[in-house]
Amino acid sequence: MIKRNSFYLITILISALCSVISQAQPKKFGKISKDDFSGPYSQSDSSYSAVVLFDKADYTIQKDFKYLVERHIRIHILTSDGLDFATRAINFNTSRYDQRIEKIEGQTYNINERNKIDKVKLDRRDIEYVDLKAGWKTATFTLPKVSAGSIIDIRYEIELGDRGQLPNWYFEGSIPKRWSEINAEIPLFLRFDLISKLTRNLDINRKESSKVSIVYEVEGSGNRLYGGTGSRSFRLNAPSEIFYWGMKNIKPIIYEPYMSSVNNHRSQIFFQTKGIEIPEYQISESYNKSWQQIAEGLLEYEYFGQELNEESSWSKKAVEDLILPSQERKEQIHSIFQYVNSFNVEDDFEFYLRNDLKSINENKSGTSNELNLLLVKLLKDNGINAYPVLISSVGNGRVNPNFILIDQFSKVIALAESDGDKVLLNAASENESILLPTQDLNGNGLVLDTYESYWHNLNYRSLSRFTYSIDSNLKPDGSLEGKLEVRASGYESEFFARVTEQETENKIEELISSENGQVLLDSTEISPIQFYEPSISYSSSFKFYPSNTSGDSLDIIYFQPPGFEFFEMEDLQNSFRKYPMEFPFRSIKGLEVTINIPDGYELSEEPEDKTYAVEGSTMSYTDSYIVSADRVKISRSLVTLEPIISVSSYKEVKAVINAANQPSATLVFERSDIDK
Amino acid sequence: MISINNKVFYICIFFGITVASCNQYKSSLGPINSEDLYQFRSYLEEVEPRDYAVLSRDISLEFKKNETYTRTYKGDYLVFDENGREKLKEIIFYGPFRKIKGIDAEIYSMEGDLIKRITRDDLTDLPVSNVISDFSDVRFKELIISENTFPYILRVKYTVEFENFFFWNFWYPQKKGEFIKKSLFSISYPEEMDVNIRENEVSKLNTNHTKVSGKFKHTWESKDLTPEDYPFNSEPFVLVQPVEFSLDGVAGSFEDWKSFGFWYYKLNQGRQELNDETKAKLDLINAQTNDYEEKIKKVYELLQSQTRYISIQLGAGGWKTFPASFVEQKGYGDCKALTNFSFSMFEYLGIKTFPVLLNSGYQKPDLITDFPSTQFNHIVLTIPTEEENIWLECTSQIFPFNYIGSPNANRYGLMISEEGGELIRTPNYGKEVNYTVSKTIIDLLPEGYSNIKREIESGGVFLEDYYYGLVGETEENRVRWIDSYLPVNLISYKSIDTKSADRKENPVIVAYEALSDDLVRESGSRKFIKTHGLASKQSFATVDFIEENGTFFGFTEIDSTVINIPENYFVERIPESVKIENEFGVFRLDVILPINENKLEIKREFILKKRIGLEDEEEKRFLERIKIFDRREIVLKKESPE
Repeated sequence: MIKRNSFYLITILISALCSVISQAQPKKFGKISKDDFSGPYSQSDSSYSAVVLFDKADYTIQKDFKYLVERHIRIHILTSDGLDFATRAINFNTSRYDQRIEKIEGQTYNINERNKIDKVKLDRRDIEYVDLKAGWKTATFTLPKVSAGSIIDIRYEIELGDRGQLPNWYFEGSIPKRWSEINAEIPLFLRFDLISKLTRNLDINRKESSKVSIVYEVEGSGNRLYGGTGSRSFRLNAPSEIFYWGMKNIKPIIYEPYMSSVNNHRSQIFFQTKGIEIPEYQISESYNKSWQQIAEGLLEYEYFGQELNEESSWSKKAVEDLILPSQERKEQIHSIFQYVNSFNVEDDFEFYLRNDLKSINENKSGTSNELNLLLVKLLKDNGINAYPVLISSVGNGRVNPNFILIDQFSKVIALAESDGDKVLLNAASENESILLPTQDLNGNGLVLDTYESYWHNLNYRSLSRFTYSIDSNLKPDGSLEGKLEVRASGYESEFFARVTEQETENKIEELISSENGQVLLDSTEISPIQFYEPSISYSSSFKFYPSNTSGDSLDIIYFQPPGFEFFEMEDLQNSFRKYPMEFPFRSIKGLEVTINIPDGYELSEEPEDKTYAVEGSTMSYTDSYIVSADRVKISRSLVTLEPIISVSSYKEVKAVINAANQPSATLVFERSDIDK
Repeated sequence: MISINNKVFYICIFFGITVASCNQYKSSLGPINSEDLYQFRSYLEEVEPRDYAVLSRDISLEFKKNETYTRTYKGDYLVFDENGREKLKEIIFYGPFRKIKGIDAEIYSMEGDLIKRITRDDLTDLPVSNVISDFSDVRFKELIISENTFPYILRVKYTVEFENFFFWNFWYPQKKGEFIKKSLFSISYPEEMDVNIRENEVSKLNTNHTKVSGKFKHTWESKDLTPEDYPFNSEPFVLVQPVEFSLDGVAGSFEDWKSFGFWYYKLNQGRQELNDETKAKLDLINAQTNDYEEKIKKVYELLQSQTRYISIQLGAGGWKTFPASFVEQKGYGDCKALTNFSFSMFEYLGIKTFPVLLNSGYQKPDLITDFPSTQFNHIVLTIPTEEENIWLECTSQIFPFNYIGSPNANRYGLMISEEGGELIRTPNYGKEVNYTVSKTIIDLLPEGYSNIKREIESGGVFLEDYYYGLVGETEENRVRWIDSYLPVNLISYKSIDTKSADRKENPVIVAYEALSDDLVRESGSRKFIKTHGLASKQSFATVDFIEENGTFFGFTEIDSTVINIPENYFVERIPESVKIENEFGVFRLDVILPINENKLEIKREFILKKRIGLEDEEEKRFLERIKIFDRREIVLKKESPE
């Protein structure tokens, strides 16, 4: 009997599993059954507004040796919030990448009152093609008759003009995927690096032998086979391989506070063209084999580094009034940096140069990358060793140096050498000091040098400090007066460096009073930020009046010490965490408040000291009190010693941050001369 | 030796004008008035303006007999910094009914020397809609000035040709914060043409009205304005609307609202045919109920379940609706299409409904009721009943029946019928309609924890928060939303009841019970609790929100909170009762300590009588006082052991 039950149970489980898998398996466009509607597919799916049943792409080679990307996505809309998935935009670039949309199909499926499936096709006239910037176009459409419970099918084909630009494939998305698969046909003569960054094993991972028949065109002169000039074409039948990669039941990645980039956690496959080898026709083309080759290619490229190698007179003249031969290198670098840093930064994320550096200098305006390449040019031509540095901004994800793939980078900054020191500079930075924008602090950047390129760490190694101290006298009416001092260094100093004196005072007032009362600052002193060693200090005398003060002496003074919003850390509210916590830099934030107790009063009770720490003390928060008869000293500090803390420490990190976000304990002072 | 060009230069200076100095660029905009420039610069040196200042701004409209007109814009600006440069980014729209006929822009030094001409490369060309669920055939060109050496003079000129007389034009001489030397507006039109012109406060302007060669020409000019001249309540303006027009082959008139409404009715006629499937669904509703209002409600539910809103501004200026069959086929539409589809369904059932054109939005100005013109951006549906009209927002899948949403309320609209147009007021969402009543019981637990049991009933604009936050959302998102809605940290929920929102009830009732670790602040033997510690963070009714944004409605907020005092604790301090009543509103806060009961009760009432702006200092003080009272704390102290 037990055996029979087990058998039934196993049978039910297997059939349930088969049902789920068959629902999720890629099917032909338009082929659907009622079983496909039987979601949600797992307990966790009910937390999402839609589920991708399958997302499949085929990269195939056409006869004209162009790749065709065919993509087919089927999504089950679970709630009205998921209706947004029924509106899609497909971007392509006809002029820059010679891409062409071959076909777009869409279909919506609903179960009607007669328990049959209604199918409604996307009308081609409802697809809107819109021109965007720099040759980009978008095809936008919304599928008809979609409501909560609908399944939608979207299929489209894009022909890629450039065979070196196969789109990368990402497995995870913002909603669950039951099936994600990519099939890529690659002829043996076309050498690709297939680079995978996987967070788990592939469920599909195989390859099949095949054949391609293409017409190969050889362009330009110099090819020995064709006598040196013109272009010729020939038919080529060549063996190829079709790679099949896939994952099933993929959980989505949802952004969490202190997560630098979702991309760091997505499973992905990159395609990097390495070259073409057709021995029988003596064709051998080799592309990027190493980072050094990439560097050399970029430095010689007309729209990137070519101008850096040619000394110009305009670039000397541009800064001749700014630098003196007698100046130290560091001062010269600072002057040239300030010159370019004052230019207009255009809101365009184009990686390569759109204009020559001379006209960028004349117009005093350019993209972030253009300004940084101009900075390198001006430094070099004025006798300072300088290099472009390729980096990936934090939001773009980390660079893996093992993948020789230029697509991993999103930006260019500059590196200058000064008396043995290497100085990283971003000409588009809004910082007042040498510090790179925090978005640039992302692992290693590639320093481009014609002879020997190398990786350079971008992270800020020093501790950034912010200390805030108050020495004050408490008055019998609950008001406070005294002196405050703010000292900040590293990234913590940048806020105060960027804002006006008035904004600084507003910030200080906010820090002191939060919502508890009004602050008057007096006789302020501000020291300016230092470029190479960023630090700033601010001091002022102040008076603080609590919200409800009447000006009369109080029998009991409830005193809320300042600093409620001092630490300004984002709350960690989730009860769970999936990914490590990443902080932009290491820091120490400290607050010290001394309160002199007025005559005739005493502290009612001493608050408890509190300490919260992450194992290994990579992060900690302390709140301590030293009490004497006439004074109370409050010390709070939040220390982050490691920029990345593992997910296993989430509970402790959450406790640290939540404790730091809490206001200080209220101090209660009672008149000592009245009976209690 | 003086070159010919230089001779011209000197002669021109002599006559009080200047031309561009001889360099690689040649001006196409003519000379700058050097006398004005000199005077204006001298004046500005004293006042030290930021951003930019207007040397001259000249907008002219030329209406032609063939039902086209041109709008020519000329501006000479002194640009002082990056903010000024950004504020002067010129955006020029074009599309099916308007074409750009030329754009010129030049940069000059402050001395009036031409430095640079703007080229085609300095113009970006993009679609108006930048979100994927927004379909439009209108595009715009944006003039990107990257000049980075300040100060400089920017000169801009462009002309747009309009292919019909449908859209209105308006002119204000000054924008907020501007120093202006001269601001000019002119229109000209053939004498046989009828044009409605509305002038407001023009006694502050220089005006000139002439008739030359069969054309009327009117000009309005304002000179030497400072930012202090910018008025908050009353300002000069001019509105222009040609009376007769034709759009998409349908002739219409702005003679009065009735005529314009009739044109809209004609334009959209013959687009109400329903298919058999829809008719069958409507027949079923007809068979299910004889109750008039119930029938209307069921049709609205059918609309909400089968359609969704997509913005589509294609073709006839966004004014001609897609036919009902379009919505039937696609399941989506814009406001006109969904309203027309609803209208068609009601028409099939023999229920008389009326589309109502509106200018929707919180900060939209009131309709100028005596100036018929194209002042609208949205459409809703109204249905007369024996009592009040029923109002339906046909683009919303989540609103309850007979609720049109706060951006549509409290304003005039144009009701459309076969008789023409008629002005009608949309529902008044004031302090009686917009209300929220909360009942909360708080149990104070050891170590700073507290158990919060809360029920909130909300009507009017308050229910929108809950509908947008909860309807159609997954369980996890509902929890997230409540988390983000409150200023306290809720670490776990015992229950959440949002069924009322799922049922689309009005008023909506939401209840939850949750554990918080920071509603109460503990310090030694004391517990500190704010009198209004559960104020909604996101609601427009919070004092912080009003201080920053103003509010567009009156409302009523009534909170009753019972705090059960734990054993061994006593009340050390309770705030005194407070009552404020003035022209803006009523605020009352009482903390009551019932005798022989181990609890205290906080009763709070905040009634805002009317909308509040941001300029009035008295209003600000009223809000500031409320904020202080809401932050006062109750202090409980643990009894000392004997």
